[in-house]
Amino acid sequence: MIQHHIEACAQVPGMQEILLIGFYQPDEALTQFLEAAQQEFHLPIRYLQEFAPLGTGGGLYHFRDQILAGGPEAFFVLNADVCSDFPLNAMLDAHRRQRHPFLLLGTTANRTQSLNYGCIVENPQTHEVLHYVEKPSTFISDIINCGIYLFSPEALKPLRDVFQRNQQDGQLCLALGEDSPGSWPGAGTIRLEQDVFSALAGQGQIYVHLTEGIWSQIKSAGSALYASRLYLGRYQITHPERLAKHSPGGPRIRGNVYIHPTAKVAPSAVLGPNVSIGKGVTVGEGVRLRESIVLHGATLQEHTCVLHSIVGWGSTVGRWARVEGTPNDPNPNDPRARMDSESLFKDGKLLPAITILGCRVRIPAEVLILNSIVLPHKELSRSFTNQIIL
Amino acid sequence: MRQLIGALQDTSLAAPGPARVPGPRPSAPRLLLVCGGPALASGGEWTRWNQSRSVWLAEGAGRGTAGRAAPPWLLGLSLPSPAGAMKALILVGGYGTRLRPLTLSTPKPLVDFCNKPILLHQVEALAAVRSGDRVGPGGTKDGWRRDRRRGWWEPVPPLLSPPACPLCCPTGRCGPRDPSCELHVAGVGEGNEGAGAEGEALTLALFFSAWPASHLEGEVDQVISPFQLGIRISMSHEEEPLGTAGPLALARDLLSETADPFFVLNSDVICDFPFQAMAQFHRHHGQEGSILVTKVEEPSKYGVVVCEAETGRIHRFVEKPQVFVSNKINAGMYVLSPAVLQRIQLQPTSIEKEVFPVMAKEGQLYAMELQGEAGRHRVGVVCGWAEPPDAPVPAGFWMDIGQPKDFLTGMCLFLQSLRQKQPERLCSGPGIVGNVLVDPSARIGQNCSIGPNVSLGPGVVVEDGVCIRRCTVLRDAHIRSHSWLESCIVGWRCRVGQWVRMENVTVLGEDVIVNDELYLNGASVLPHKSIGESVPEPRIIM
Repeated sequence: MIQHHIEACAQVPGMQEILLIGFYQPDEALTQFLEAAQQEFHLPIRYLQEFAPLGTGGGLYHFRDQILAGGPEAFFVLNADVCSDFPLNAMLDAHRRQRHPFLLLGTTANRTQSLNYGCIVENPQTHEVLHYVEKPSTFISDIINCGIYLFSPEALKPLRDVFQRNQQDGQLCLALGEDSPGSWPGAGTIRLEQDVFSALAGQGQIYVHLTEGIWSQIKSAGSALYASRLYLGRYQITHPERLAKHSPGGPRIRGNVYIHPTAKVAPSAVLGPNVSIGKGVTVGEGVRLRESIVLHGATLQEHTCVLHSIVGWGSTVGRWARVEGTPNDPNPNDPRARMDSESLFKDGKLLPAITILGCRVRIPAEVLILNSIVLPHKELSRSFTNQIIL
Repeated sequence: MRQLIGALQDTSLAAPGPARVPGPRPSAPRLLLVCGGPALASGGEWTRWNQSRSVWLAEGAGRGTAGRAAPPWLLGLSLPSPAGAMKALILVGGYGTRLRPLTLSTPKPLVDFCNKPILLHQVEALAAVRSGDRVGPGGTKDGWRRDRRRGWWEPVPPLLSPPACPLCCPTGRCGPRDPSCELHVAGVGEGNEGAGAEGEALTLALFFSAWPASHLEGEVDQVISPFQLGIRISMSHEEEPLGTAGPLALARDLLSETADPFFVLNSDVICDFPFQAMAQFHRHHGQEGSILVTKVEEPSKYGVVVCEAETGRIHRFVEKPQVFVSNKINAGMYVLSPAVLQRIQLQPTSIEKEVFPVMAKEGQLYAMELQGEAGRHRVGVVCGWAEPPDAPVPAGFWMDIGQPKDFLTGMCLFLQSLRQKQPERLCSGPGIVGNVLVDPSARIGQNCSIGPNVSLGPGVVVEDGVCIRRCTVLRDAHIRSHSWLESCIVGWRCRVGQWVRMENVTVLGEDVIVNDELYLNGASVLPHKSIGESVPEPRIIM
């Protein structure tokens, strides 16, 4: 996921360094990934671990020295859980035309779905942000925050103000003996959206850059499939060489399909549209894959049929098994429709959604896994429909 | 109605058949199918079936007219002859609603069960009771002979083995194997059965008359070659539904022509038809009626028969008993004496609910249990084939195949019975698992897994990489590659796409198209539909 971000950043001329900020404990996989990415993009890429979850803005302030090291003209801030075509160069151009401390990337959503996002009211002439509300309860605007920003160094100043105010509040709370965790989120936590954007809206500091390109949140696994489809569709324009083509002796390809070069795919398999096959995956004879992601090391045996599903790392699907999910894609007739950040349950029932197999799941031959989520390392023995298999 | 019967008699007697066997033909035995037909479309199907088999359809004057709900089909068969006859009446009544959507295209008795119409299973079994009256062409080997057209072995009826008829041949009237001599055959048959005295043999001869069956030429060529049924089938059409007993009254004249008992069969049962044993049982107790009963595990779902363990005399019937009184249920096959006809009026009557209870009260009704009798009808009683003499005798199986779920269960039982009696007829080879019946004209692709318990009809095409378990696939259906089917009935000329999954008693009517990559769970699909969406929960697709 993050590779798409790095790739986009690497294409911005004059990019000095990429910093990943998170609370996640770095492990071997991350280290390997960073090394590989550095070699690929010839850029220093570092991971900065927060000492505690600091919200969307706290990390920025905490690592302000690292960020400002090298005296950058401006810096991009990207949320990792979005999928976009990252129009960073366009944002940079806008920034160079008019230097504002904050430049947000905005896109449009339909009226009901905008409530799930940060809503921006802009001045249509100047694109200044007049009003900003995170996840409003009533309709504010159909322009939503994409979670992609370009900040100038002076943007850290309002962050410092917020930080100091929070510290004072914290001390006040301590003095009053109110140390319940809900009343005060913790030292150093800054919520970029509420604490900064909402506060500074209408003061001529925040501007929005609108894009019509692809954009989606990747909060649920279902949206991962949607995002995968968006990226695969974009490859047609940006990297057509990455998409699999039908070749003699190769599998039948329909639509946009990505096959990792190390994957072994039988010639009688039929793949696509919108299929992504990871490293070292084995796809047997007569396998059908549609609207699915197969993560690295998975094995699909002969005659299996995988539709609208994610097959986890190292999972095995037996012969003639069927793994099928139900897509919840945005309404294709509404160009402004966005992926719903869906909840799994409604009225106590699991909603039909895509099927996800966790890592190292074993699906026996001839069974059906429909609209289910299978947690890692499960060995199933029968068919399941509409269940979460713990 | 009497006119109708008269017409039937005339028609069936007058209908000439191409003489195949020289010799006297005073009168041919015949099956009388008394049919009250529902939809005229089905009538057309009947006619086609008839024509293809040189059988005569006698249409009643009051054939169902448009706009009125037509009565159900009733079917009877009778085989009268001057010398006595085997007679049988098959009740093919009803619209076969439980077996829809298949019965929307074809009358239930003509739906293929294990690649042969349900009706033909019964008719052949009836005909085979006296099998051996004909000398089959072609070579024999250890009591078995090869059916070249169908490529399987069928038993040479052991009735042939005595070279001469002990009764008639000394008189010089017939040659040792003259098929036109009914006494010859019957005597041999009874002798082979080892059932008793010469007097009884004669009775049997009258019962299972041995007339040449050359007028069933079409039948011989198409379905039962080289066996010949030696019967004629007539049909009638009812103006209104007459229940299960009414048709007996309709056919009263035919059935009471002689004093011989006759068989009555429901059309939707499949089993090791023990007709010979039933006839013997009936004669043995000498009362008006005999019912075949079978044991079931859960008797509370059925009407059960309470009878004396020793004699089989029936005390009473209990409908859906709440406490255990018996585990024997009516298997839908009876032997009745013509005296029973006195009890039946020509009006809608249920034989099970209105006639039998009265007979039981008067001590006129006896039950023969299927299970225990399985070993006694060793020869040729099931559809023209039988186990070789030293094969283990299987327990008798029985199934009411009136609904899809039971149809499939019945298929499993039937195929298992084939496995024990005539494994040559089952298919084997790479990709074939367990008991699988495949018509020689069906084609199966590479890397398939077929079976256990699958029957593939004529002209069926199964493409590469298909997995089929516990299914019946009817004539000319086409299953495309990589699909997976379990517990399904695929109708005639259906097309099932690639990577389709069908399970849980999915039934496709005639000419249904299932698009690629769909999942059908317990769907009942009406004929000529094209399915474009998955059916995740059982329902009917209109």
